[in-house]
Amino acid sequence: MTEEDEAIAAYRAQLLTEAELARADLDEIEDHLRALAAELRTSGMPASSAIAEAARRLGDPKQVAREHARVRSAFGAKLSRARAWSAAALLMVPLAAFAYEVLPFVGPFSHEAVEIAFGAALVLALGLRIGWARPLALGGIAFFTVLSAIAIATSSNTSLAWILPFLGLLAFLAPWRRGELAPAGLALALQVWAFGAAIFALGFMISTEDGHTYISSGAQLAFVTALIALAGGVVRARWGAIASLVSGFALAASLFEILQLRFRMHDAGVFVIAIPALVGSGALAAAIGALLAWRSARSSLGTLRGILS
Amino acid sequence: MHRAMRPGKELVAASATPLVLAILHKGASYGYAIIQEVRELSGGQLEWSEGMLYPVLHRLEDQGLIESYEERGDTGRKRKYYRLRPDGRKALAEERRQWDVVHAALAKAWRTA
Repeated sequence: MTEEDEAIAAYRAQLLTEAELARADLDEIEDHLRALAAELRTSGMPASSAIAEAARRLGDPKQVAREHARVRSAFGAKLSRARAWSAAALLMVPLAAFAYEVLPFVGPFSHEAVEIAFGAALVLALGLRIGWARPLALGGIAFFTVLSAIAIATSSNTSLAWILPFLGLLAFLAPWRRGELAPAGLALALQVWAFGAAIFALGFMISTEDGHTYISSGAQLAFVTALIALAGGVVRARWGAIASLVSGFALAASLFEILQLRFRMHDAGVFVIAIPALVGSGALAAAIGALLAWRSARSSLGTLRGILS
Repeated sequence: MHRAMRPGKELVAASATPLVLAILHKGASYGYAIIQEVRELSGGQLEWSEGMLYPVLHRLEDQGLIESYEERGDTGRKRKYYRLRPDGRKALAEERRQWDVVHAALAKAWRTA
């Protein structure tokens, strides 16, 4: 191995410590280094200095790797292996506990089983550092953490320990640097928040004067459209942005519907804090998510290209 | 005496897309050659951070404005080339129109300054 080969191997290794670049991208950078070093040698620079100067001109490998990783995923910078695997492991714990608790009592076609399957897919995608997994997990965990915090604040039955794994997860998933989450990633995180708000709103039963019980129609519409918005967000389609906007309006409508329950609520604290905070913020998140998703959409129909990267 | 300064980072970044599209409009090229051409075109005044070219190329590729393919280069090693796609030609025309507007406005402003 020549001195040049060794220097190039070291530069490639440094790139890989910051982000997982594709082999084709690494080869492209190597090609550039070799071409630049050859030019410097031709201009009279000693071979030993030429490769070092070429590496210097190419730039700090960590910064180059970060820029590559940011561009390569439409949703933002890829998590480092350590953060991604830590987040996946932390998420697996409550998921496994939930599965252990409910799976023996429900069938494989129950909604709990579907939720566990979705959770397992998310854990896998996080571990594989697929671009959309991070914003999906971030939005979901952020919503669940706030929901748990409200439950702790308003109920003596909920322990603070319940929230700790989720705070840990947030530390791994939250963007630490400016611009770490691209607009498409931010849109996705907000749309998950809206989806969480829709599920929360679905939990309120409205009793009519003639004794019938029904679930807020706004919440039902919000649930369906938020789910569509998430799918659209992953493929970066404009229809996802439209669905997100509809879910925002539907959540606002459901908030109005649920507020009609004012005098039937036993726990005024939950009513005053949780409903406006969670459903209202869901409506706002869906609206902002719609704007970001529209601006970052790849096309009207979206694209499956890069969906697994 | 005031020393002539090179264009700042922001201006260099803003001109990256139209320059890359314009260079590829002349024919397929690869990263190192693109950097060389930018240097020649600007008489050495536009100093690109070389490692930052590739994220620009990959973004344009992701936007469907350019496409890449591999071919053996003059050294016998595989090399990644980029070429303009039809959407890239449209984007270049639009970039050119916008930069012409800016250029015309600045030219008028400086004539009266």
